[in-house]
Amino acid sequence: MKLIKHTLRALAGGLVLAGAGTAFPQTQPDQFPSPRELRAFLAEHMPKFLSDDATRTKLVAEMLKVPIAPPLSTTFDPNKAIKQLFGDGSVTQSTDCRKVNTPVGERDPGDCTASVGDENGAGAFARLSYSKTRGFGNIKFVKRPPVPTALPDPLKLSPPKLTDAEAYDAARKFLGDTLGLPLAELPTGPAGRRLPVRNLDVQGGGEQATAPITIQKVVFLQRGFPLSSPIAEGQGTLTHVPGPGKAMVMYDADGLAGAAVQGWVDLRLDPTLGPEDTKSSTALLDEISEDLFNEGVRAAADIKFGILISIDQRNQFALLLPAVQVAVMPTGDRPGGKIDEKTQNALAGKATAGVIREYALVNLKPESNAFRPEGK
Amino acid sequence: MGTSKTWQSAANALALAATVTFAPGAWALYVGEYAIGDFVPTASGGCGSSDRTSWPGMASAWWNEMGAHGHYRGPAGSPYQYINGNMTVKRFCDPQFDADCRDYQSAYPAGADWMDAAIFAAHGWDDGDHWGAVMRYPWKGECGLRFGGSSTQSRWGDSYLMFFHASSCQSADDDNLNGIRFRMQDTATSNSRRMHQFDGFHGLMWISSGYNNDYKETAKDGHSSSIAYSWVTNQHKNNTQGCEAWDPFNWFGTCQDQCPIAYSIGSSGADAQFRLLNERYNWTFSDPSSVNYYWIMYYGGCDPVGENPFGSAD
Repeated sequence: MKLIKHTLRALAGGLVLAGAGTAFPQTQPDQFPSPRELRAFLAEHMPKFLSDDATRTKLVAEMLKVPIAPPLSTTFDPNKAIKQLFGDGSVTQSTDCRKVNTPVGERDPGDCTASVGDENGAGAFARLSYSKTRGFGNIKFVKRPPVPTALPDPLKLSPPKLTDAEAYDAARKFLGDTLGLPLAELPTGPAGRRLPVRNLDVQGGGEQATAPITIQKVVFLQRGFPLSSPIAEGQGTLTHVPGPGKAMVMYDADGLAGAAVQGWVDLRLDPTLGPEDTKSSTALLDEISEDLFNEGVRAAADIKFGILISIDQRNQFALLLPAVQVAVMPTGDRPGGKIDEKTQNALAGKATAGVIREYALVNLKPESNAFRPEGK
Repeated sequence: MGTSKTWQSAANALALAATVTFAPGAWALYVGEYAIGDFVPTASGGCGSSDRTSWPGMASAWWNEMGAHGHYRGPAGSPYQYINGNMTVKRFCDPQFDADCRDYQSAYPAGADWMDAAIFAAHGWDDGDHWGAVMRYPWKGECGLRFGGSSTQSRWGDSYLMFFHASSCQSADDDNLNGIRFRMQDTATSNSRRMHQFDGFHGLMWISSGYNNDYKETAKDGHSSSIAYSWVTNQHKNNTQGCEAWDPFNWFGTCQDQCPIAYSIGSSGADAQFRLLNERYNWTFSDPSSVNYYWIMYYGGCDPVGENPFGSAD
């Protein structure tokens, strides 16, 4: 087959690279030829609660005292989850679940797996995988129906039965009851907030274009912590900060269709850190501008700053780290806004992929050995 | 490992001869990675654009996990992992377009159509009715990989490529979806062989080393559930991009999404949808017999940066 194809290709050899030379429009000079210009752009877009030294220090103080619920390593019971998800049927568990350490004694970040069915076959299959060291905070439940033996009617897919509100409530209950996630770390938001629920759709095109068909309701939840003293910023007030960990739960016509918990690490406070360790705005701007420049950022339509609780991973647990997330936006459109085709086409040859980076808001103490494992 | 191509060809040929739509089975796929993180300035003879140093790590996470599942990543001395280097259009374009194109090439550097499944990472844009992507160096004066719609530069699937994952902005914009299918074949070379699935993004996508795990999970879950489902569920970022500082949970609607799209073709609507919902890395079907129909999977209302909400059709 290869031989035939290559012969045909040789016959087609008379063609030339039509359109060659149509590289890109005239290359624009860099918006940020050095970190200095990038730094000025950052300073212009930095929210006040970060640029103001007193407010930033207060924010760090708030983040260092958020209430931390009992960790997933103590609240997630794999055996309970397996029983609830698979019933009393025959479940196959991976053989290395007890091997929780790497050869050098570090905790193995890999997963332990329990499954029903043959993953490589055509039949129904379901898998629950979770971090061998539960402090890493990963849990995933995947299931699939058997591959049909004949082509079904493509328009006869069954939609999920739950409304958005029902799916949202069911997801919180499932995450709390079956996977042991602390509901206190799943902030619900104010009355009237948008529910984090989306439809997973499929849709036909070509010679049989169809309307979208919803096959799942998916609930997206972000771990978060309340601030004891909300901080005003711009048009709103920051009442909660996102933390390390997110969850999603899927529902189809038959009910629970899958779930994932990612990076819900065991958090601990670092007793050596205090608000006095807050970085100055000058130091923060220097650090961010140098890093982003080294990461290749030479242009941006906008830069967004967000506060979050990041982590300083220490083997099977993580130290809470007040941080700022910086998102470099290649275009300046906003939610629901219009960006016309001509503007999209004008991105030819430019850096289009957005960049997300995180930076600690505090100076870590390198000499701290509070959580260092004992050597010999 | 080398015999897997033979098995696959035989299986596909038998299926076609018997006019059977599906000849499912599992074998080690040839998997390739094409990623650019270090773009070369035009002043240095490159194609320009800004670096994204974390990008190859994201693509490699998929490629490595595919290897961990037993798929073939190329000879030990010259694996099918192409990061930066002399990345040009030559390894993606079709000889029907220019006789020197080498999308089918098996020797180093192997072309995209030599792979069964490939991941690609580079800056992309909406090039009219199709996707364009920035190469590292020009080849015959061309810096843009172009795929779909009115562009005849790249046509895949006539050799081996079944599954292509484009980690690239605007690689599957809603207004360009109809044209993707026409380049998932090259009937001048083969009337029987076609791609199965093209996965990309509506609007802009995002780079972070924190996203490596999403690509790893895409590879992992694509063995348990359909590739389309795995791509869409693991790559979607729900209202987490570009939020206002006071609205990190999107309670007030200031955030945007990252919008993955999975796209399969078939000889009927039922065929294309069946593939979308059931084809896995470890349960692949014979090639589609036409590109007349396609089905997509996506999150309704997905609103990315750089494009209008999905379904706005521009």
